Amino acid sequence: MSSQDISVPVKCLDCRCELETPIVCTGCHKLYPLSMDMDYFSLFQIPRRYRIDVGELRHKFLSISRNVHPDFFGAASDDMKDLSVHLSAELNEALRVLIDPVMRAGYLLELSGGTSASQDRSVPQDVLMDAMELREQLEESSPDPVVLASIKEAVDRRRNALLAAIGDAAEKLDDGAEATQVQLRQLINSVKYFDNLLADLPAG
Amino acid sequence: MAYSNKVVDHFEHPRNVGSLDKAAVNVGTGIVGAPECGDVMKLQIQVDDANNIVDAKFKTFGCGSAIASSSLATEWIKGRKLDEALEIKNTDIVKELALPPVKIHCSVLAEDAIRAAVADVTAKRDAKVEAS
Repeated sequence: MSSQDISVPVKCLDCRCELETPIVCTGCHKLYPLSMDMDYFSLFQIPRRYRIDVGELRHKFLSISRNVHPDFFGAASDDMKDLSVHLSAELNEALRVLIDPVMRAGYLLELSGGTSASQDRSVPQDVLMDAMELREQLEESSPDPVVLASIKEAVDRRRNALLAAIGDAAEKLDDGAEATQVQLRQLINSVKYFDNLLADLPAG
Repeated sequence: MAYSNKVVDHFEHPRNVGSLDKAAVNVGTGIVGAPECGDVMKLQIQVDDANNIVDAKFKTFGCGSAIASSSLATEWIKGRKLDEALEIKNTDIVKELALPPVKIHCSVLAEDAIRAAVADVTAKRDAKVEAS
């Protein structure tokens, strides 16, 4: 798998327009079913890598979604209606995964083969100890806004460091090194603890 | 999904919640986690010179089943010898608490925590013996 592996644009079978995405012709709205070799990146025709242009992703999502939206196919055959529903659902799921940094990294890990983060389940001991310590601080100091702010800062700092490391590891996946996969799995598993901590911090 | 009465009982009245002195040579600490839910569990044991577990404490930040599993684990290991504590299997906890399949990983966490705590205190003591 190459990080710049974008399929060559082909022409629409009906109107001969060049296809911007493999699933629909933006010229005549002919829909094409998904094929096995398509991944979420190829749906949007963006490079298959961690560091993506999120603005471009959103823009492409909107323009492609508009063209496959079921509202467009009210008068079409049942097959086309079904395909439009199916493709729309797939596009929504693709956006949901690609727009989230951790899910995007997990998806790249999945595409690179091997064990997924959720199958692996390993978390470095220091992450668990940090999470436990922050949990205990939170439990003991709940009403004090100053202490709460310092806990939140510590959680944010740990989480941001993990996100940066996830980005670096996900960009290195193409090396094919198993060590990178192992590291990325642990990082993805680790970030969950700090997400949960953030969610459990009182608002404000 | 409904929790069994035993889970609810342990959740509402958890046994042995708290902490022991992590730095003490006769205290073993096990911290384990389940990344799928972000639960984190700390289980500590205090042993006497004859390897009897004289006290056990836990702190679990997680779901009701994880709290119940660790609460039950501390009850069961108190008074046992270290090697007897290792005989506790997650399946025993599943059975006792009637955990549903989606919560079996909580019992695995409790078993892992016992193992980690026993390993910690054993390693500390070996280090002390070597140093003396």
